Order: sequence, then C-alpha cells, then structure tokens
Amino acid sequence: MRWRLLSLITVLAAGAVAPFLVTDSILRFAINTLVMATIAVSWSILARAGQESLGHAAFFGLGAYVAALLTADGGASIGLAIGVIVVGGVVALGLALVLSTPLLRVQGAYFALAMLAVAEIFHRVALRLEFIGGQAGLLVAGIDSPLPTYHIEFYIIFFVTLLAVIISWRLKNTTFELATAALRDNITTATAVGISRVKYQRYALLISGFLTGLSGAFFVYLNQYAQPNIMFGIEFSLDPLVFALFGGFYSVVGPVIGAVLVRALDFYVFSPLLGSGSIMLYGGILIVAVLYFPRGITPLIDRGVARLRTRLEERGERHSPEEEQT
Amino acid sequence: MLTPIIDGLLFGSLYVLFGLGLTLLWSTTGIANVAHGWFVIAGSYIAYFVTAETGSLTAGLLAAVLGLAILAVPGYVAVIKPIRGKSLLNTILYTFGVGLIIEGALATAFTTDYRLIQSDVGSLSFGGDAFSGVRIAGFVAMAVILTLVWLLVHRTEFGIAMRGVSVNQDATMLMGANTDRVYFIVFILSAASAGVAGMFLGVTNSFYPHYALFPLINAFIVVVLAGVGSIPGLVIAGLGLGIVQSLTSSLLPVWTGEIISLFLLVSVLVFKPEGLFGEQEALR
Repeated sequence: MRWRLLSLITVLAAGAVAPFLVTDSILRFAINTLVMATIAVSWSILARAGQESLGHAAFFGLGAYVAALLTADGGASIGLAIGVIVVGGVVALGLALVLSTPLLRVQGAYFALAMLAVAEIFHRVALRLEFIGGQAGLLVAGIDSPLPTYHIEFYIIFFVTLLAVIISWRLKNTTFELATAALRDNITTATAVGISRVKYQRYALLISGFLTGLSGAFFVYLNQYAQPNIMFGIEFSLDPLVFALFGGFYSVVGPVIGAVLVRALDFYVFSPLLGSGSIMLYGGILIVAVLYFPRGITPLIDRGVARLRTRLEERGERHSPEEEQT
Repeated sequence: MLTPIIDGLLFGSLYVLFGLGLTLLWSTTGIANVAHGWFVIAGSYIAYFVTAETGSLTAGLLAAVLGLAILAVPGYVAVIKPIRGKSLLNTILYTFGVGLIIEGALATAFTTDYRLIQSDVGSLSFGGDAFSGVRIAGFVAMAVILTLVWLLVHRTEFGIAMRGVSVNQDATMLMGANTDRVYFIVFILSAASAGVAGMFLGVTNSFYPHYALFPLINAFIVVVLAGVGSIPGLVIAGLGLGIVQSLTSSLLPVWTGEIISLFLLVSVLVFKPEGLFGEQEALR
C-alpha cells in the first residue's frame, strides 16, 4: 500500500514542477498530448470491455460545446472552468447512457460503424445550429488565473489524465476486468454462467464517455474556439484509437505511451517533413498494428525487457551460445 | 413535384455508384473496405487532371477507371491479401489505415486545395427545368453499370463463383472455382467502379483529400440499408435516398435529409443488421 502512495506523490510532484522546466512550445505540445492520452485511455476502457468505437468525437465534441456555451459570455475563473469541465463530462455521460441501450445491442463492426454515424450526426447538426455558431463556431476566452495560462492548463489536464489512468487501473482489480476478460475469451460460456455483456459494456461506455467529455470540455479552453469540423472531426475518433492500438490497450499506461510516442513522432518528424501528409503515419500504424501487434507495443517492450533480463542472468551463470538462440 | 424527383434520381445514382464497389467486395470477401472512399477521391483527382489536360470528360472518365483498375493490382497485394479471414472490425480498422495513407499521399502530391472538374457538356430540360448533361450521363452510366454487374453476378459462371465464395469459400474451391482469382477480379471491379464514381463526384462537388468521408459515409448508408450484397436493394436504397433527400429539402432545410439518412444507418445497423433487402445476415 505504501509504495502506491509514494508513486502517486512522485507523479504529482513531477507534474507540479514539470511546467517550470520546459519551454512554452514543449508545454503546449505536452498539454495537447495529455488531451489525446486521456481520450485514448477512455477509448481503451471501452475496448477492453469488447467494443471498439469509431466515434468518440461525439463525446469529445459534446463536452467541448457544453463548455463553450456555458462560458461564451466571457473568461472563466479557475473554479468556474473546473465546474464547467465537470458539467461537460456529465453531459457526455448522459449521451453515453442514451446511446448504450440501442447501440450495445450489437457488437464489433456494427457497434463501431454505428458510433461513427452518431459522431457524424453531431457533426452535421452542429454545422447547422445557429445558436451554437453554426459553421463559424464559437469563440471562447481562456482560463483567467494568476499563474501563466499554460501552467494552469497543464495542471488541469494532468489531473484529468491521472484520473483516467487511475480509473482504468482500478478497474483492473475488480469484477469488471474478470467479467470482461471472460466475455472476450468465450462469450457463450461467459453468458451461460450469468455474466451480462450489456451490463459491463454499459459501465465501460459510461466511464469512457464521461472521461472523453471532460477532455473535450477542457480542450475548448485550450483551443479558445469551438468549431464543428474541429470538435466533431474524425481525428478525435481515429487518433485515440491509433494511440491505444500502438501503445496496447490491454495495459493501463499503453495508450498514454502510444499518445506520447506517436504525437512526438508526428510533431517533430513527420509534420515538418510532410505537412498535412503526416496523416500517413497514423494510417501506417493502424495497418501494422492490425497485422503484426494487435496488443500494441507494451507487450513487446515487456517481452524485450524479460528477454534481456534472462540473457543477463544467463551470462552471469554460464555462457553457451546455443541456448541463447531459444 | 417532378423536378425534385428527377433531381433525387440524379443525386441518388451517385450514391449507388459509391456503394457498388463497397458492397461487391464486402459480400464476396468479407472485407468492408473503408479505403473505398479514398479510392473514389483518387478517381476524382485522375479525372480532374486528365480532363484539364485533354479537355474531354470522356477521357477523364476512362483514365479514372483504368487508372484505379491498374493501381488495384498492387493494391490487391497490399489491401486484400493480408487481411483475408480477419474479423470484419479488423478489416475496417486496417482499411481505414490504407485510406489515411492514400489521403496523406494525395495531400502531399496535390495539396489540400479544393478542386472541381470543369465541364461544359450542356444541359437537357424536362418540363421547363434544365438538368446538367453530366449528371444525366451519370444516371445513364449507373443504370448501364448496375445492369451489367447484375448480369455478371446472376447470369455467368463467374457470378456463381462469386456468390459461392461469399457463402462458403472452401466448398466453392472444392467445386473447382479459383477463389484467389475471384477475389482478385472482384477487387479490380470494385476499384474501377470507384473511378466512375470519382469522376461524376468531381464534376458536381468540389473535392480535396479529406472529402473522402463524403462518398465513404454515403456508401455505407446505402449498402447497409440495402443489405450487403444485394444489387437491386442497392439501386432502390440509393435512388430512394436521393429522392427522399431531394423531397425533404423542398420542405425542410437541405441538411435534414443528411441527418435522416444517418439516423437510418444507425437504426438499421442496430435493429436490422441484415439490411432492408438482404437475404442473409451480413457477415460479421
């Protein structure tokens, strides 16, 4: 128990000092990455329960527009902004609740496509609704604070990401994980012993929608502009999926690692070289992940570490090149 | 009353053309090819450049069809071979990846500027309203192509093999059909149909690499509504959707038609996954 508290304190301390150690451009990159990491973690909570969504932009954009509408009149103090972000999350949770009954009737590709269509419905409606700005969108003031804006933004999203990771990690030690693992392994047997697929997938969808709504509501203050093509864009549905697949969505930190690595690669290597063509990176990862590492890179890292360890131990005891090949 | 119906038929034929390649490949190979939307846009780009060079829309159309059919040969190795037999969801994720790569390549090569294929083919008038000649040509092309495809599927030995493969691949192979060849040819046909769709799309709507989502989502709407693999269903769904959108747009704002069709897509996916005209439960 004590090491958990210690590691939590270490992470919090690292987060508290991080903004003072880096330049503004790196900080902005880090904030955007944490937004994506949060969606990727929430996406993976649902994916672990057996449903891979292609429309998380619906939750993200809804949270974003709720926050934009609530604070359209002027800047938000820190307290107000936090309250509004929570409201954004709760409204997205409401959407998840409404969607859960019809959409969870089906699984796999059918659920994924239905989510894609739902996100597109929100996108098209938002483009036409005049009171939320239509195609022109809404301008939103940033968060008022005595600290530099980026610092306070970093703290908020750092906390949200931490919350998502902790929820995802706590779920690992509950009946939720056991039930969803059983459903993944053999759905017929699992259902026969009384595990309800819909029940656990509904929990996962609610949590996932809530966390994604939080990050959407936060993102409005970062972006200071809510526009349908951005907030309900397919990027917020596909990119988190790519991060989670790349990092490995059966592990808690996999989606975070995926978001950091892929976004760094995109931001510092691909975008400067290719401009808008850098989307090829995401396509390439999807292809390779589906074919070669459906469980992401974290198991590969684990295996690599384990292999290195055994090899080092072997080298200490005896040295035989034949055994090393196995 | 007549004008919106004709308008709807003309728009609807575009939806039918979007859906054709998707439904052929999906029903035969069990691959829901999301990249099809980007194939269509690639067809628009080929038609755009060839038409601009030669001044002839026919040349643009032929180039788009041939170009995509030729690109589909290496594409078969990249897209179809690796994911045969994977789950439907994995084929969707994989082909999304393929689509994003095509989008990136198009954006790098041709920038993200809006483009429109220039045409001055003239127009025909019915009952006092003029309709653009290209869109009427699109309707005729759709009718001819869909008839040919129906004949291919239902009146030839190859069509028997196609339908066989979609039900049971091993049994079809044992009956002496070359299933690899069936997959290959169906993929080429599906890509070529994207060339036709791309050319007629590029004449009426301005396009850019990310615009692939428009043909893609409409293709999914008509294919899922019709039921995967149903050719008559596809024609009814596509034309019907065009007419409904056109009729609602004369009463309600234009965009309500789009929203209605998306609601229909969700409802069919969730409540009737085999589609409205499908004979069998679609492949899962």
